[in-house]
Amino acid sequence: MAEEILRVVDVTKRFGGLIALDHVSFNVYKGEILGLIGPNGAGKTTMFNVITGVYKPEEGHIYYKGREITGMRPHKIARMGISRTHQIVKPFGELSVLENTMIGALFGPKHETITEEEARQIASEILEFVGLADKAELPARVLNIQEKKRLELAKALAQEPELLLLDEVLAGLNPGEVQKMIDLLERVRREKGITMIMIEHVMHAVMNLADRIVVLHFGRKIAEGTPEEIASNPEVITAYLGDPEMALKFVKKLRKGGGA
Amino acid sequence: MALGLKEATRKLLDPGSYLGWALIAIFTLVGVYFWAGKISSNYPSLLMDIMMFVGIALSLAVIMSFAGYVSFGHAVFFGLGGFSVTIVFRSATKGGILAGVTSNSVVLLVLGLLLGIALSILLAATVGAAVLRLRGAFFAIATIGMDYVILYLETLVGEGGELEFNPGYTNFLEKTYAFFLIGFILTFLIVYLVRVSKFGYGLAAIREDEDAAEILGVDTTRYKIYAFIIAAALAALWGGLFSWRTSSVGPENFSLKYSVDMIVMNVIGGLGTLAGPIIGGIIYYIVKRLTLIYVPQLAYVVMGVIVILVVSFFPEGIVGIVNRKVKKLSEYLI
Repeated sequence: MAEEILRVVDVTKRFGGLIALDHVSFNVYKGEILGLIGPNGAGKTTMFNVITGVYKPEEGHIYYKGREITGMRPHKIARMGISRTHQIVKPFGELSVLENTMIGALFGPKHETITEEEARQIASEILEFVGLADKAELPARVLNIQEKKRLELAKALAQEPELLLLDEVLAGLNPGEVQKMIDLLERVRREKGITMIMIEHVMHAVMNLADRIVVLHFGRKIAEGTPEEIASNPEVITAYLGDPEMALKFVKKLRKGGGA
Repeated sequence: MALGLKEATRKLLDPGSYLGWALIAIFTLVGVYFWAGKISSNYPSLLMDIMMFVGIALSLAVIMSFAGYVSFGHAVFFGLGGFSVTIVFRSATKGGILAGVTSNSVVLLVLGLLLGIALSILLAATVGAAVLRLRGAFFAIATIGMDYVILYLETLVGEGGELEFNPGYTNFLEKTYAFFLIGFILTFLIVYLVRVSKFGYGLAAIREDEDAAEILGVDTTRYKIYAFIIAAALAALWGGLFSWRTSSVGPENFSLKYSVDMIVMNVIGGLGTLAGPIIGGIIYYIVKRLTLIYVPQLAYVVMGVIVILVVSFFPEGIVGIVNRKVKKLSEYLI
């Protein structure tokens, strides 16, 4: 197996009496796309928040490239090369699309040496890459949801991260837009070689994009494996039956041949 | 956050700085005529008012307009600056700790200003560390607490009265004009460089979405405190200069009303921009001056109506509207 980039060891996160993450462990290897799936409330976004330092876990450790990052402040973790997008997009509304993306570049891992000109250059290239170049001068608030999702990705990519956490970048998009975003993510993997963890409810996307999948259910890891293994795992299917709509989609995909 | 000297110099020639340079040119030109004795003190007095209004509006803008933290406690720093200058001058008279050390009024003023700035930085750093954790209305309300606490200094001033001092009246207005001009240039340079630097981008990110800024690598805690400190130090500078000009400090210098005035200037001018507090400060002054002359009883009514109209119909302020209507100007009104 390739070099390990992230190691999550026995992480537990509680909110009052609720256990959002219950001794979860998994590894992420350099260059792969790891799918993080599970029914609503499974703890997926909480996992992202723990990895990026928004929440401090009660127990467990997180190592990034061999260095412990548990409980570090989010900006420090970002500067080490972990970027993320948000499920509910967080554009800097009054700033231009270009400025939004520049801020990503200015405060990323290169924050100490990067000049404004270099940041502008990187931001322009990234906007070209994600297909927002023609919107560069517009204030971010006027973008539609699909464009705002792309801007989330642009801000994260402008940091030139080594590990990218994608929180439902496909949610809220129509089928045509979903396909475009999948193509874009394929390009991120192919052209930039960035390791990714993606939280996603659009099953055919995860099944197609991910090399491996981790399944969370009520805060616990119930399965880990290749898409084929996950799609035929009885415990996973049972978990999704708690969410009938999702289960239906899931079973449909299975019948189509495991989505692989 | 450091801005290289070379980069800073280049930025100072960008179109966004022209408005500030234009004002500095006008102020300097009038000053030259005034110092040469060619004009009376009428215009210089008026321009000193404007320098101060724009100066304090710019100082508040760093935390309120750039970082999005509306502080109702800004007059505390303004008052502290005035108090420090007053105390330094009074301690140089007989019996004071500076008596016999120096009676040079310029030295005393600089000492007083430095004391006021130092105290304000100290206060901003300590109070800021606590209240800058709060968001939105909670932060605003906490800063009102600063206004109350500082009223303690009033007890030192005594029974709501004024504490006066003698700044030495030789060429007083000429000197005052020079100090105000230096203060204005300093304020403009600092606030402008904050606006156009990486630090400024970080503050804008905090204003728009603080959590997203932190996740994107902005050290939000440190940036907010730096912004608060810069704002406080500049307010202390103007408070000190104002007290020098009036040769006194009184409870009004610290008052919540002053804090609100500074907020209003920023709101009228337009939030999130450098041109906003500059234009807002000037317009606020002109409106106040004209209403006090022609409809003195209604002065605050007029200002109140303007604030309500601007916030209700043009929340982006004058600069926002102008930039939206005349795209070409947005390069200058940053």
